Amino acid sequence: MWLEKFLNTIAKRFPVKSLSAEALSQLNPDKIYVENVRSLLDVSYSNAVEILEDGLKQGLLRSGVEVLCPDGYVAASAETESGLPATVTCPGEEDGNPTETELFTNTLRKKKFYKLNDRPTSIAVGQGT
Amino acid sequence: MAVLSAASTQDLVNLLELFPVGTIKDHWPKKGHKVDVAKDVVASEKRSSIVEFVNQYLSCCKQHIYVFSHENEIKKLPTAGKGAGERVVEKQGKNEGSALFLYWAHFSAVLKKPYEDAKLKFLWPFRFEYTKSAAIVRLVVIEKNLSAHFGDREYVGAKKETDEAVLISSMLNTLDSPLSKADLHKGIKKLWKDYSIDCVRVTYQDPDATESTKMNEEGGIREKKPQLYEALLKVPFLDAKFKIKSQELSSASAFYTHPADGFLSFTRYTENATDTDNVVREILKHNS
Repeated sequence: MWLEKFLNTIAKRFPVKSLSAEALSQLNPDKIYVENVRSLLDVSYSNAVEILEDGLKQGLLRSGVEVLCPDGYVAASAETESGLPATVTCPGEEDGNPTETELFTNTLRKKKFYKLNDRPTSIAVGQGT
Repeated sequence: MAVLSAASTQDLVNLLELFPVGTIKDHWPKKGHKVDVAKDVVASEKRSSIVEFVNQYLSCCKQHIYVFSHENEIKKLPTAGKGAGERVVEKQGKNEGSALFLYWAHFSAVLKKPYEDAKLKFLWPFRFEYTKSAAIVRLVVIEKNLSAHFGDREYVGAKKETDEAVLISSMLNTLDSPLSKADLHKGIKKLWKDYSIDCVRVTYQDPDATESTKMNEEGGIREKKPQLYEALLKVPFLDAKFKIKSQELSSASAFYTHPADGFLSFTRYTENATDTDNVVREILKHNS
């Protein structure tokens, strides 16, 4: 499993507890947040970012960005920020009634995530097995 | 910009009213309601003494706290920036320091009968503190309850015109290096694992949804939903409220947080300045 290989390879850099298969199975390979890896490996936020960015450079992971409505609802995602739509529709409520409002994406919060790279041609040159 | 010297006596009374009345009375033994005590202090004390009080007891107030991380890049205190503010207290050591700033918070409202626009401004204290690895901006929450300032007149549409994010950004831009928001998940979850705190409401992300849990009657998630607690230890929070269980940690009742943004908020007065300071310190102690 690429994800297991990635986490075990990188985690050797840090003194952490061994990773159980059960723990790894809790990660969703299609969307990995920094906090998922930080808490799994019990490292600092910045170390978790380093681990994931290393995974990106090695071609084991791809990254994406999602745009969040004010209430945290993920309205859209794309591989890069420029790939996000210019506007998104955000649910809300007014006087107890549901509403939908179109908001400019550039005014909303973005969040980076990572996912398992399932495109073998993206593997970085020099990556070991 | 000279803010302190330009402030009126009423501005200073309003400034003191941001603090718990017990704290004011402990510092200056006076009797009466908060507004009368504040007027008495302003009439009898030098502005420098009032500013020292603000600096010493700011942590007792309702606050917003923004935490930033850096790698020993801060070598000097920031200035007030482009906002209409003044640095009124400063203290600097080798790798640490703090400064108190006073800004103006501008409010607008529409008075009724007859309708007319009204504007008010209040002194707004901010404190900047830094160590080798963290910088913290604390600011007192100024609430939009303006009725005491409009006499008997009703009003609508009260709005704070001054944006704290803009003031903070302007202040921090005067530093030599940009700072990044500190992600506080690790420190907060450590306190949760130690059971010094328990979560009573949270918005969090799983891969497919943004989920929320609001515990009834402020029950704790770890106490009442242990499986959810275990799952939450592994996911990012968008926002959360934690109640404080350990009196040793703090006698504050609770705090709110947006952990990924380095944001903490205390919405109630505390008896001692150390109540909120302890929570921030313990989170940062376990955050790296």
